[in-house]
Amino acid sequence: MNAALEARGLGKRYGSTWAIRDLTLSIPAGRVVALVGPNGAGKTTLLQLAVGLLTPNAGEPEIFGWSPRRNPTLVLARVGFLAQDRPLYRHFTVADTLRLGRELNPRWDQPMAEGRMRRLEIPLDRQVRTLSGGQQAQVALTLALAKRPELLLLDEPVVNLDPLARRQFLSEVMEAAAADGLTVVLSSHVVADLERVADYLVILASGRLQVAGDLERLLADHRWLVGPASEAGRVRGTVIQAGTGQRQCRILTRDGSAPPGWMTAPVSLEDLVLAYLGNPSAGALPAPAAIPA
Amino acid sequence: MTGATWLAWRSNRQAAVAGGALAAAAAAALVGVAIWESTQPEGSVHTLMDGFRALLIAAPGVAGVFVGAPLLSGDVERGTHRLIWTQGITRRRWAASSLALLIMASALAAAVMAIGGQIWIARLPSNFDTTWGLYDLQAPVVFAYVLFAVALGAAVGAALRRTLPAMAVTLAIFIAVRVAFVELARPHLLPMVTRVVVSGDQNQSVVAPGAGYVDTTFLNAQLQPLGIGACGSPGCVPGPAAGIPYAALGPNTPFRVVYQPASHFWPMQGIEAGIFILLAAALILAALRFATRDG
Repeated sequence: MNAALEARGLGKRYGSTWAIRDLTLSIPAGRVVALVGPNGAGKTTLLQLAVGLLTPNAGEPEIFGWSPRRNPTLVLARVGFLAQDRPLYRHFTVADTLRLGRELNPRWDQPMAEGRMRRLEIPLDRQVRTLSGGQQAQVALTLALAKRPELLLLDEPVVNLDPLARRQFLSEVMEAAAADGLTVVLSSHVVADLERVADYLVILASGRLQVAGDLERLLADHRWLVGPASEAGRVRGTVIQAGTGQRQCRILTRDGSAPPGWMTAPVSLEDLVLAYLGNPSAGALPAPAAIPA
Repeated sequence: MTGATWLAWRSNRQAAVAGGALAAAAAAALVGVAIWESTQPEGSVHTLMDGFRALLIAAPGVAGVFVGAPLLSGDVERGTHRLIWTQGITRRRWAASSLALLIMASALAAAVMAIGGQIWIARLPSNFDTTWGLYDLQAPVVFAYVLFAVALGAAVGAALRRTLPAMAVTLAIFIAVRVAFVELARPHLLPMVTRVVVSGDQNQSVVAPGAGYVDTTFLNAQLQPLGIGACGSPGCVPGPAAGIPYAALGPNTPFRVVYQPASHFWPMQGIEAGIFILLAAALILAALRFATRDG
């Protein structure tokens, strides 16, 4: 079974600045991946490399084993892509937008596309620019889903949407992922959006891979340890983040254990992400053996 | 229409409809005036001559700026290339379909307008110089200039990826190329015919009727051109260039005539049209290359 998205030594530079550098990554098929990192970490570049919008300067991504550069039609048929800002032709009607999908995609599912529009109460004869932001996002998502992709790449899909539209959008994504066994990669710099959706976590920082792995496993492996500051030196495990106060300290560890008397608490996705982003030298990557040569 | 051709049509149909309507209106006006003029007494016609001259010379530039330049610049400018390039077809297919539609629609509109112009020219009164005097308005060059201009616009738009600058640059290049070609290249598309008349009446025409680019130079006894530069050497007679009237030259002053004969007219039209159609083809290939680079 090929990985949905795989890269070895992937690099992309703009001028002399590397947006993605020596990135080796393998995302298993069937997962819903949260791709997080601060602005400028390389999330958009990675997604655009994966769908072939950008040409890498080093290495090459593979989508189910296919190179976007050498086999563009094979990759494009398998990937649904929703770019940042959810671009659509604003003067097209919704019907024209769906026709665009039908004309340009060999596996297009018109009944599914029209059914989604009906269910979401988006009239087909309306111009895209007259729709609300949430409705436009749903039209853009429908365009990506009705081509029947195996991998769905969503770049900051819920930015600028109100909370209700965010929730509705993400629940549509989850529903589609569950129904068709899609692999989904969602990038976001707002971690809270992804908490209920993702089951796999990838953290990028400054164009490098910092964390990659099953989300439940990562959450289980990390915990907060809270105890007297004087005993902080006795904490075992890898310290990702340590906050020391006058008398007490809070330490986020991986595979950590605390001296007797300390409290332990589970970490949230947001804790985890913030801790790693605050500590660029820490990493949690699968062992090299996990990536096939 | 299906596939990428449908998208090209749907995205550009306003320009296509407007361009087609203008070309059809121009052709209708040309043919209409031609028919009306033929019912009028001689001398009262050709009032619209300057208007039609301006129309047939400007139309290709207008097409290049408003139809060619926006074709491949708008998507990257608005970010919709990330929508189109991630559907099921390659960027190359997308660009090729857009360019094919542009060329076919432009060729059709250009042909309609050029043929309208030719009908109008054919109906002009017989005392008009309807060949060299209206060189720019003949169907072959009008047609070729339209294709060249839209291809130029498409290439510049694809290279710059910003619509307004692309329109301005297209206009500037089109005017520069056209003026330079008309001034420098066109008279020499075929070799000029040279005739030297050693003696005889200057008023007697030595040039066959229908010649263009006629240039006469008076010569001295050694058959060297008369003129300011020639004087100071032995046997120099000041020529008309030095302010001496023709009458002072005497009836037997030899002279040289250089010209394009009437038989060169249509071959030169064909050569000029061929050059600009080849340039259009090269620009289309360039547009394809520019348009498919990373956004």
